[in-house]
Amino acid sequence: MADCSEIAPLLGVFEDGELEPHEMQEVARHLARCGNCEIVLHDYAALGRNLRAVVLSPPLENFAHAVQRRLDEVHIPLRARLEHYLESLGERWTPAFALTSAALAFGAWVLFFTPYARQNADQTASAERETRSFRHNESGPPLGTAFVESGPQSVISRLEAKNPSVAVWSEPETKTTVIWIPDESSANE
Amino acid sequence: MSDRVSGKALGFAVLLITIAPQLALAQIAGRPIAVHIDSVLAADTNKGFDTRLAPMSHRLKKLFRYSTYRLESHQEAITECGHMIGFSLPGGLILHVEPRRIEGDMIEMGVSLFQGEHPMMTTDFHLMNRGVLMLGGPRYEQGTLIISIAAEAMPLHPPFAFPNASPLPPHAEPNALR
Repeated sequence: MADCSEIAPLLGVFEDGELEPHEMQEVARHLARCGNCEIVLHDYAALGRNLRAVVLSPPLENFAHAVQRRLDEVHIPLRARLEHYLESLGERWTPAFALTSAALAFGAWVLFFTPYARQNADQTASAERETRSFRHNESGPPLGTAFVESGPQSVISRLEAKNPSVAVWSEPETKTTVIWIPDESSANE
Repeated sequence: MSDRVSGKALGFAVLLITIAPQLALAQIAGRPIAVHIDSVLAADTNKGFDTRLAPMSHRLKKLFRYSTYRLESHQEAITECGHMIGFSLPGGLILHVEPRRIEGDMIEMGVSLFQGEHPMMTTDFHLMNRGVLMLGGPRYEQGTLIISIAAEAMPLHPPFAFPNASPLPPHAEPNALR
């Protein structure tokens, strides 16, 4: 069982209701049988009441507005404002820079490393090969291979025929390309 | 805060870089292509135009000077890039058509014409979407056979309608040889 010397320091806290539950119980038991400590507790309670009575609560009406007005009146040095501006700029520009870089990297990757790029490269190489082949054949007899650009409607990149007398023409009005392969029997007639 | 945002942005960009081209390629590769083949007999027998050739009569008049045009067969098939389809044509001719890829509004195609087992002609070309390429020359009956090849990249989702398709004649072969 606790004696007065142990309970006395707890009385103020007990009055404020801030003790742990087991301490509250201990103090309450002690107070039930100790008149001196009860008197001390009453003194604490009276002191608290008196203090609360003399403290004036400040008026909170327009408090935020008043604070803002005071803040507006405070002069912020140019250097501090500049630092703040640069700091906010950095916060916005870092993700923007990262996104722009990523978009550029993506575009470059699509242009140079995707199947589209390989496809275009293959086509260019193929067209060059076909052109070279056609030019090579110009000097000799026709081998039935041709490289013909027949307008925007169709582009013939390769044409091989059993009969070397092949005609290709386009009709611009109907935008139609014709490949004419004479029948061998009629060609020999 | 900004570091976290930058990290997320970079992560998103990397994800885009990895996935977007594959998705786009998959869409292009899987896009169906309608191939229409019309076989027309052209001759100088003064019998005029077959009424079934009305949609292409202007084209034929501009390109050729025959006095008779008769639709021998109309065939159509739907395929995908990289898939060859075969058409059995009049006169024992066989036509192989292979759409290879779609590039913008052009369709890259490979076409081979056979007389029975013997190859007559092979060509690779880019054809404007919904464009027409004609092959002509093989002798057939009293005249010459003209083969009209049309291709259209169809949307991934139906409905689909081929605007310049010739009417299907009663004796048309409905299915291409696969």
